[in-house]
Amino acid sequence: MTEETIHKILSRYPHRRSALLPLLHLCQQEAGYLTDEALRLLSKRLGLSPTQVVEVVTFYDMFHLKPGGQREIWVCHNLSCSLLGAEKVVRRFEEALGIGAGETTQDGLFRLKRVECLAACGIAPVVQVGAEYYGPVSPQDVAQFVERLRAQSAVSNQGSAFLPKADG
Amino acid sequence: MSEKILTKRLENPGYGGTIEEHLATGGYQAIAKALKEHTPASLIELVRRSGLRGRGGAGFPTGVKWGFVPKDPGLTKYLVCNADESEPGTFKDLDLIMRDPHQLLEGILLASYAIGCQTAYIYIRGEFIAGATILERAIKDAATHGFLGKDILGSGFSVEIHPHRGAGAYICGEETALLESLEGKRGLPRLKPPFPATAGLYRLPTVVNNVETLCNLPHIVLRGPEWFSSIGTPKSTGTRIFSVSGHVRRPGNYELPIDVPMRELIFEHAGGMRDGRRLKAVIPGGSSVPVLTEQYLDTRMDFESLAKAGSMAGSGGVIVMDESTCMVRTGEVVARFYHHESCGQCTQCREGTAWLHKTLRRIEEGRGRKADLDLLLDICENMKGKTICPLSDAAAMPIESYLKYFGDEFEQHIVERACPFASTDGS
Amino acid sequence: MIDLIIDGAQVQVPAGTSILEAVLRMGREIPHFCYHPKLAVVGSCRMCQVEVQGAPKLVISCATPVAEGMEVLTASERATKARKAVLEFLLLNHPLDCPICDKGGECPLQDYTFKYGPGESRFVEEKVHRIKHQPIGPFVVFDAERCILCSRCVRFCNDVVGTSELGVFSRGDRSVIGLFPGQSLDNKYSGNVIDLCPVGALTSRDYRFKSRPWDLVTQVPSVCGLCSAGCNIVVDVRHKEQGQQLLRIRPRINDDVNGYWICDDR
Repeated sequence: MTEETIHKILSRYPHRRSALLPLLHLCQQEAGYLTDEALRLLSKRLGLSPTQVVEVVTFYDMFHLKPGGQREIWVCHNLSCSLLGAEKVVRRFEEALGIGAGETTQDGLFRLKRVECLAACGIAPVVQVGAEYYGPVSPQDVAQFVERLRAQSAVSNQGSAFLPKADG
Repeated sequence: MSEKILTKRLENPGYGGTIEEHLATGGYQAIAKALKEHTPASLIELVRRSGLRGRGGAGFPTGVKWGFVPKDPGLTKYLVCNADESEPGTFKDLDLIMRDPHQLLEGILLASYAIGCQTAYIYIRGEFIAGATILERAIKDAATHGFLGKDILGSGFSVEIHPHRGAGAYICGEETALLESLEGKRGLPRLKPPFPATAGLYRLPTVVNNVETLCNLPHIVLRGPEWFSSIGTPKSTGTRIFSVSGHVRRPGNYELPIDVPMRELIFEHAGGMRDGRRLKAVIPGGSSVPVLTEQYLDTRMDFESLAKAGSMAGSGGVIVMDESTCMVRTGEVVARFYHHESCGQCTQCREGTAWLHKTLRRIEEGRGRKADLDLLLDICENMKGKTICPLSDAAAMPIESYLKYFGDEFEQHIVERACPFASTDGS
Repeated sequence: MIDLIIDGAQVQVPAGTSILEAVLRMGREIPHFCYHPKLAVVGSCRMCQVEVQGAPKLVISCATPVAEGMEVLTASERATKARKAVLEFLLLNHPLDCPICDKGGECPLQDYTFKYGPGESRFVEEKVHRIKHQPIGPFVVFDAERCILCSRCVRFCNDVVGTSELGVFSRGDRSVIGLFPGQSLDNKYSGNVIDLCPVGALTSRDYRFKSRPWDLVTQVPSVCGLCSAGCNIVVDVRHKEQGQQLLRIRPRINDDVNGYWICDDR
């Protein structure tokens, strides 16, 4: 996160505290999670106590205070998806990855998360990885889906960027 | 087939939503027209006359909302576009933002001009990463073409638009929680009054409008309020994008006159029920609203008709369930959601959403007690109308309605000590 | 001045007064947790709801200003049911460790439950368990299970002291008062959160398990002599066989000197 980026974001708002969410997103993108160091840095830059930063971080589902997987697999389990088999989809993911929902694979590649409505119910059951939506995902699709993600990760890991590749 | 307005461009599968394509199909003509022909006051009046009502859930008349903003030119005012779409069953922003972002930007320009705002924000749900990226790009392109920034089209009117990503919290769809979040705080709904129109973002006058609401504006300006109000009913005007999901053959977004009958929406447009099964229940306005049954299929989808039927038009998210659906399980899923999403400041909501969820889960798992049914109703009663924001009501009302129409199913779970449905979701 | 009717009695109070303050001025009670006269109003505990004639919903008396001709019913059937319900909700996950809780005997949650609450629980689920008796600073012990999230302590550290060590982490029923990892609550005024806490979530390390409040037979009004400020205090004394024992010092309200607060010096 360069000084220039911070300035650019701060310039969008008349009060610097408003830059908190955008800057947290950036910090998390860089390190994969929010380190204590990043939280302290943001608290100084934005004139907040470190506790006030953690209050905000822990309110929102997308922020993490501990390292997780390089990529997150979000499986929606809300109503429209659940009507069309989301629970089975979750279970197939757990089997294919060898972990429970909420956990990270041993190799650190994936974190599997059950999530609430992703606002893409037209293609339920929905799975989101990075910026991409996938659906309808049937339970039978899951094993192959995971294989494809693994293959992608193998490719992207040759580079140095952490950023999840959004192409599906 | 009725005329599409907001999604007309999208009927062309080749439409990519770039500024060039947008301009070639009449884009940014409404702001040009408004800047030439309207004062902010006459634009507000025009929108008031169109009868446009907010599409986010509450259905408040947009022109009236704008009218509450103080006219004092010395006061900074903000427009915030609510793109935090998160009401389960609603997915229209995916189309409106991904496929035609400039329509939304033009709507924001018009609203900003009307209320005298120079900085507008688009609060977009954090998970909608692709949408934020598209908007960043569209904003850049619009600025390059002179539709954003200083002295737009030589009119002296200036406005900047900034997208702002949330980070995963349903409650930030509530407008005051959204403003708190935009200020870099936890998304806790504020005590009202004061309302955002007088004390909103940074305690300055602010209008919060939904994506679909704003997307209507260019068309109202170009074609006139009378044209707009000729669609629908006298009190619910224009078209609405209905997001249909669940057990239908063709789930998707359907833009139709706002008073389309539910039967037509489900059986003609969304293709009817899957697998030849029978319709059991419809949630007509996102998961917060009371459920309706087959007997209500001829109800029209406008605000008044759905209210008369005992439900609400809400967000336009229509969730259709067939006869294989367990309504206790549905209740458990819905209650789990509100339990997960309550911000936690009000006692009734923080504790009540959890209590509802745990009780429904227990009944679904075959550990229900006879007393649980009255208990559920009383918890709902104690949650409704008593909190800072309506999330508590949103959690209680659906459960009450499931008990009202499907009480026998709840009793069956309790008597048989198990869920009688061959589960469709693998649970 | 505004004229209004509260429970049938004609009352006159200055404009801008809240219904709750008007009732307190009459020397009567409306139970409340999050409201505190010296802290910003957040209206979140919902305990102080009352009925205003003509209003479709109950209103929270802490955040509703009086109005000319207003008719307030503090104990109508609706208000009474709502109050009982809030207590029921608060008690769902509240532990039943009152017998060993330092707050027991002077606990608003306990007292209100006795006066307004349900006699028995309808909650058959397992209670949520959380961290207990955790020292969070030199003077304060925190019990997360007892906390009812009124946020008085958070607002005190934010708005009065300005140090903002305490915050509400997470959301919904997972909400919990917390501090930044490794930080402790050790500002100069930290002890006030013990007095502010309406339950036994924040208790004193010094006074812990020393006495039951009803055994503090002498509550002596005094003035602190540790500096020239002259903060007004109450000295809580317990009589034992071997003589008097000074157990606790609390602030005595004096708006001209120390308001509701005292410092941690000793």
